[in-house]
Amino acid sequence: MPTPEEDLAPYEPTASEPWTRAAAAHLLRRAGFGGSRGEIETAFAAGPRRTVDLLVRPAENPAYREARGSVLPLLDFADVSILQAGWLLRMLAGGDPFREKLALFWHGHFATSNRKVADLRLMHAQNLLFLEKGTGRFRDLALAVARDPAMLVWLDGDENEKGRPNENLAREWMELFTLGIGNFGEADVREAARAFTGWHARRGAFSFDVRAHDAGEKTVLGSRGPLDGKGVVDLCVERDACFRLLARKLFSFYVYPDPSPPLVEALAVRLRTLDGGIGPFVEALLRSRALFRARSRRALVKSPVELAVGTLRALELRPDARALGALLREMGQSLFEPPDVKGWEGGRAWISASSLLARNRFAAEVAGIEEGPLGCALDPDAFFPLSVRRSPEETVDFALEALLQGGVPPAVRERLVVSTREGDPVEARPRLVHAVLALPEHQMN
Amino acid sequence: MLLAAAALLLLRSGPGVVEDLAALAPPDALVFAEVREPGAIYARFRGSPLERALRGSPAWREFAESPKGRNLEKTLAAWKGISGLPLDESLRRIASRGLAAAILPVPASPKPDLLLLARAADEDSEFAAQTLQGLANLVTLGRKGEGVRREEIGEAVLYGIDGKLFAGSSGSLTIVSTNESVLKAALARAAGATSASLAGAAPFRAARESLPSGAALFAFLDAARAAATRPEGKLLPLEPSAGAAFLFGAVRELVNASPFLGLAVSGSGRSIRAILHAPVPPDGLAPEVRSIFFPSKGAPPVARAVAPAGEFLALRLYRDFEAFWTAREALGPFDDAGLRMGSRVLFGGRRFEQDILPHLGPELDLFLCRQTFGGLPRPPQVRLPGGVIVGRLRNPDALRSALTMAFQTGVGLANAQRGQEGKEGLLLSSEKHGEATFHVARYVPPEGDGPLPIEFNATPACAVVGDRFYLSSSVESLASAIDAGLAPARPGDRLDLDAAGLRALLEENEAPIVASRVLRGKTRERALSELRLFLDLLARVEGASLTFGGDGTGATLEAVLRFLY
Repeated sequence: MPTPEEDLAPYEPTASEPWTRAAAAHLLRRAGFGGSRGEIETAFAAGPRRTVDLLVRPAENPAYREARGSVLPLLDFADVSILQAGWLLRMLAGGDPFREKLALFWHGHFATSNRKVADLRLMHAQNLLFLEKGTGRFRDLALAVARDPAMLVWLDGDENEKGRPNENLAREWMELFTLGIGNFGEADVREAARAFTGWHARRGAFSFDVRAHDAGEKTVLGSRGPLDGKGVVDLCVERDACFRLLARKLFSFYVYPDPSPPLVEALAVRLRTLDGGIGPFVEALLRSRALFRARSRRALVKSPVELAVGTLRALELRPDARALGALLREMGQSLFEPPDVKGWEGGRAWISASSLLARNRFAAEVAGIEEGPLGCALDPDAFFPLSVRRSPEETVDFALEALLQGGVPPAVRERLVVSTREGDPVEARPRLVHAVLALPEHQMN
Repeated sequence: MLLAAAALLLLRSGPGVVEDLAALAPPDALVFAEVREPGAIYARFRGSPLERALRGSPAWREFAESPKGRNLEKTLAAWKGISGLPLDESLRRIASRGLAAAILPVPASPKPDLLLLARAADEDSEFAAQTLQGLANLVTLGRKGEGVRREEIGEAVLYGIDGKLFAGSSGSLTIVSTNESVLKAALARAAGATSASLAGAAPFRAARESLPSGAALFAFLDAARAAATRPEGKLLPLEPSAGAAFLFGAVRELVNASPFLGLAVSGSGRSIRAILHAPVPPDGLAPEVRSIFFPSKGAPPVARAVAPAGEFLALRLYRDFEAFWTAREALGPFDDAGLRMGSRVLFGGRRFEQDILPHLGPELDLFLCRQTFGGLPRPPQVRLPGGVIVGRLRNPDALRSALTMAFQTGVGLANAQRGQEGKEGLLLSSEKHGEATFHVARYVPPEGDGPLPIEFNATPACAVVGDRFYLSSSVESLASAIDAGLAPARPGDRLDLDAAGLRALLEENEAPIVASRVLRGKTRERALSELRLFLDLLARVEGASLTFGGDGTGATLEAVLRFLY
C-alpha cells in the first residue's frame, strides 16, 4: 500500500509502470475527453510530462475558437439544447480539454439548472465563468459564483432581503459547495444568509442592493463582525474542511473514488500549499503516480458526456450536437439541467436499465448499425486500414487498440474474433465496433 | 448492380410503336406518372444556372469527393466505355419521346409491382439495342449469383436479373418491371394482342380530360383503390387535430372523398405551374365540412386585406367560425373548456359561444413581413419576421371594446409572467393613426448599447378599423396594413410568397442561421456556403403561390413558381 507521499509523487515511467499507448490514452481520458488515434500517438511520443504541459497550456485551435462562438447568436432563444450543443461542440473540438473537463466538474459541483433559471444568457455566462476561472484560485472562483446571476436566481438570492433572509444560498454554500455536512451549524447558516442579503441578480448582472442588505453584526463559523457575502465566502474557503472537501472531490473525479483519509489529508495540505489553485492542483494529480497505478485504471464509470464525447473523438465523428444533447439526457446527464443542487450522483448511478439502453443505442448509431438522430456514423473503410482486414484477429486487435487500448480479457477478444469471422466481412466491421463500444470496459474511464 | 438494372431500360426490338405509354399499363394501376418530353426538359436543365448552382453546392462537392462519389465516377466511366456516351446522354436518347412509371397492386402483398416505360426516337432504336446488349453482358460477367437470364419471345428479347427485375421491348418502347408477367402483358399490349389498358379506364380518362393537355408531367392516382389498401381506409388518415383541420381540413376531406386525383405540371415563359385536381366539387362534401371552407351560394363578394409593406408571405383563408365550432368534435380533439375559460379571461367575462363567435366573419388574412423597429435605438440581434392578422367582424361595434380588452388583458398576462421571471414588462399606450386608434404595447429598451433581446422583435399593436380587426407585431406594419385597405378577391384559400422578402429576412439572420446549422453538425464554412447557395437559388425566383378553389366539376389546388429569368 503506497503512502500518500508516494501516491502524490510525480510519475516517472518504470519497468513496472511503463509509459504505453494505453497510459497515454488513460491520461487523455482523465485530463479531458480522450483522444483520436493520432492524438494518442502524439501523447505517447511526447511522454507524460510534455503531454500534461500541452494539456494545461494548449496551442491555439481554430476549430475550438469557432466552437466557442457558435452559440452566441442563438442565446436569445429559450431552448436549452442550444447551450448543450454549444458546449458539446467545444468538448468535441478538443482545443482545451483540460479547462473544459474542469468546467464540467464545476458544473456538477455548483450545480445550477436552467429549468429554474430559464435564461440561456445567464447559464452561458456561468459556463464561461467555470471555463475561465475554474483553473484559478478557488477563493476567486467561489466569490464569482456567489455573485453569479444564474446561481442567485437558482438559489433564490433575489428573495434574500434584510429582515426576511432566504437561507437557500447560505445553506448550500456551506453544505455542498465549501464545507460539507458536520462542519457548520444551523446558526452559521442563518447568519450567513443575513450576510448574503441584498446580493441580487438584476437584468442579467450581479447587483448589490444596499437597502436590502443586513449590515448588522453576525457570527459565522466563530467570526463576528458586519459580515457581507464576500466575508462569508472568505471564511468558508479558508477552512480546512473546504480544502478537504475539494481535494477529495477532485481526486475522486480525476483519479479514483474514495481516497483514504490520510491521502485526503495530504491532498488538502497540497491544495492549501498551492493557495487553493485548482489548475495547479489538478495538474499535480495528472502528473502523480497515483493516476497511473493499476487501481486508477478503468476505476471510474464514464459519465454520459465522457462516454459520448470520448467515443466521437476516438472515431473522429462530427454529430448533430443538439441531438447528442438529447441523447445524453436519455443517458442521465442533461447538461445545464442537473437533477438538483447536489448535481449528478455519478459513479455507479450512471448505470441503470434505461441509461444502458441509451448507451447501447448511441454505440449502435455511431458504429453504423442503426440509423439515428446524430447524423454521423463510422466509415469502416476509413477506420480500418487495409492492413488489418486480412484476418478477423487483426481486425479485432486493431479495434480493441484503437477504442480501448487493450485491457480486454482474452475470452472476450476470442468471442469478438468468432463474431467477426461470421457473415459478410463488410458488415462484420461495424458490428465489431458496436460490440467493442458496448463492452463494460468501454463504459469505464 | 443498380446501374446494370437501370441499364436494362435500354432494350429494343420489333417495329411496332404505341404512342400512348398509358396504353401499355394495366387498367388496375394505382399510380401512373408520365413525363412527355424528358429529353427536352433535360436539355434545358443542362448548362442552366440551376445545374451550375447544384454542381457547385457543398453537398455535391462533398459527395463527389467521398468514396461513394468516386465509385460512381468509376461506374459512369465504365458506362461510357460500353455505350460510347455518358450515362445521362444515353438515358436521354432512350427516353427522348416519353418516360412513364406505374405502380401496380399485388394481391395479399404490401409490396407493389413497378412498371417503367420509355420511348425512344426511331433513330435511337439501334443505339438502345446495342447498349442494352453490352450491359447485359457486363452484368453477366460481374455477378456471382444467378446473373442475367436472356429469353427471346417472338421479336422481343426479355432479360431477367436474379428473378427480381425484368425488361423487354417493342419497337422503340422499352419496358422494365419487377414482375415478369406484368412485363409480358405490357409487351402484349404493345403488340396489340390485348386492348385493356389504363388509357381506356374511365377514371384515368376523366383525370386526363380534367387537366390541361400538353403538360410536361402528368400523374394519376386511383385514390379510392389506394385508400382501400390502407388500414385506415383513407388516403390522408391524418391524426385528428382541430388545428390541422382548421388549416387544411378542406384539402384533406376533398382528397379523401375523391375517387381519383390528377396532377399536371407545365412550364411556360418564366413560370412552372402545377395543378392538382380532385373530381369532388365542394357540393360533394358533407354539408358541415363544406360550410366551414366555402362561401354559400349567393354570398356577397369577398373583400380581402391588401398586404402591408415588407410582406413576403400572405395566407388568405375562408373559415366559417360558427360552422367550424359546430363541427369541432368531428374534426378532432378540441379543448372546449380551455377556450371558454380563455375567452372569459381575455374578453372580460364574455362567453365565447354567445358573445364572441357570432361576430367573427369568415375572411381571415395572415401576413408575414419584415419586422420594423421604429422607436428602438437599434434592432435586436435576431430579427424574426413580423406579422399582421386581419379578420373580418360581422358586427364591429359589438366586439370593438371586447377585442381591445382582450389585447390589454393578454399583455397584462404576459407582463405577469415576465415579472415572475424578473423581466421587464410591456408598456401599454394608445396612439392615433388618422381616424384609427392603435393600442400598442412596447418594451422599454435597456440602458447601454448592448444587443437588444429577441423580445424586441415584437411591439404588439391592434386596432379595429371599419369591419376589420387588425393585430400586428409592430406599429408600422399595423399602419401599413390599414393604409393598404381592402380589395375584392376570388373566394377560396390562397398562399403567396415573395422570394425577395424572404431572401432579405434570411440574409439579415445569417449569423443565427449559420450558428444553428453548426450546432447541427455542419462546419461553419459548410453552413455558410449552403445558406448562400439557397439564397442564390432564391434570387432567381420571383415568387410562388398556392391557390385552392372549387367549382362544379371539382376542386383544384394550383401551385405556381415564378422565376425572374
